[in-house]
Amino acid sequence: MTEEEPPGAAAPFNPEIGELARRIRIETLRLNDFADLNIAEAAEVIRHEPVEHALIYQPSGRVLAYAKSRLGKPKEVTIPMREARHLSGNVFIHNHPDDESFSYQDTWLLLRHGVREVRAYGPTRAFVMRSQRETRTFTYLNAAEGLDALIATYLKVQRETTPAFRELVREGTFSEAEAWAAQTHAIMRTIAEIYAFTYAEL
Amino acid sequence: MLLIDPSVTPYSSPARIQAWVERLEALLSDREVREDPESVRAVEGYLVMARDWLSEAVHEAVEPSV
Repeated sequence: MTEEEPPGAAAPFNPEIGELARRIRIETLRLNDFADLNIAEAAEVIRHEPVEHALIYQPSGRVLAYAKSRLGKPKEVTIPMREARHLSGNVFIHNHPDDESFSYQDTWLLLRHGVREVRAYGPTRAFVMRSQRETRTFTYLNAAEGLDALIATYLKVQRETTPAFRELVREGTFSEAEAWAAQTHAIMRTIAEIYAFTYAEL
Repeated sequence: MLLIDPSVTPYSSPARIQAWVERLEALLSDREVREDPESVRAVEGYLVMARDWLSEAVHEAVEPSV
């Protein structure tokens, strides 16, 4: 005789419900949900997300702030000023849904806001940049011209490298996303040399 | 502080790049962006980049390379 099972105990696994539950969970994530997660564990939570999420961690592994992309804008994240005060000396991690490397805004977190380490996690690639003693940094007084110079440098390198990657897309060697991931990686290698910070693919 | 990553690439279609240009233009009127000079500069930089890409994409569409 089969003992009657409690309701739901033997329900067959439904991948669609599993995915829905995961989506609801990720939509309602809050800072406290990361309290017990170290950086690597948090990265695994966000790296497959189609919208961007950002976290600030102390180097010791304590999470200080969490922000996610604006509603309907997958690649725009607002860091409230009350959270931005945590940037200096800490680790900033976020996800890049298209696997690309850093933008000049990400780089600016390192050069101006004193972030010790910036990490970007995509579904298949991840990148890190770290400040070092020789890194060219900017203060409040020279921030405006520093940011303008960084943007100009980034755009120059981007323009120089675009034709080769466009050709790879045209001939079918790379998809659009793969080419942009590779191109941003190439751009960041050059930017890291110019500004003297450590940059690598994880 | 608004952090933006490009939502298109230099090899995207003119229509997609145009949509991003319009989004960036709208961001320059966004109160949160206007209150932060660094965000304004960053968006302006992306606009230069996006218009570059748009111009190139339109050119490619008219005269595809062989």
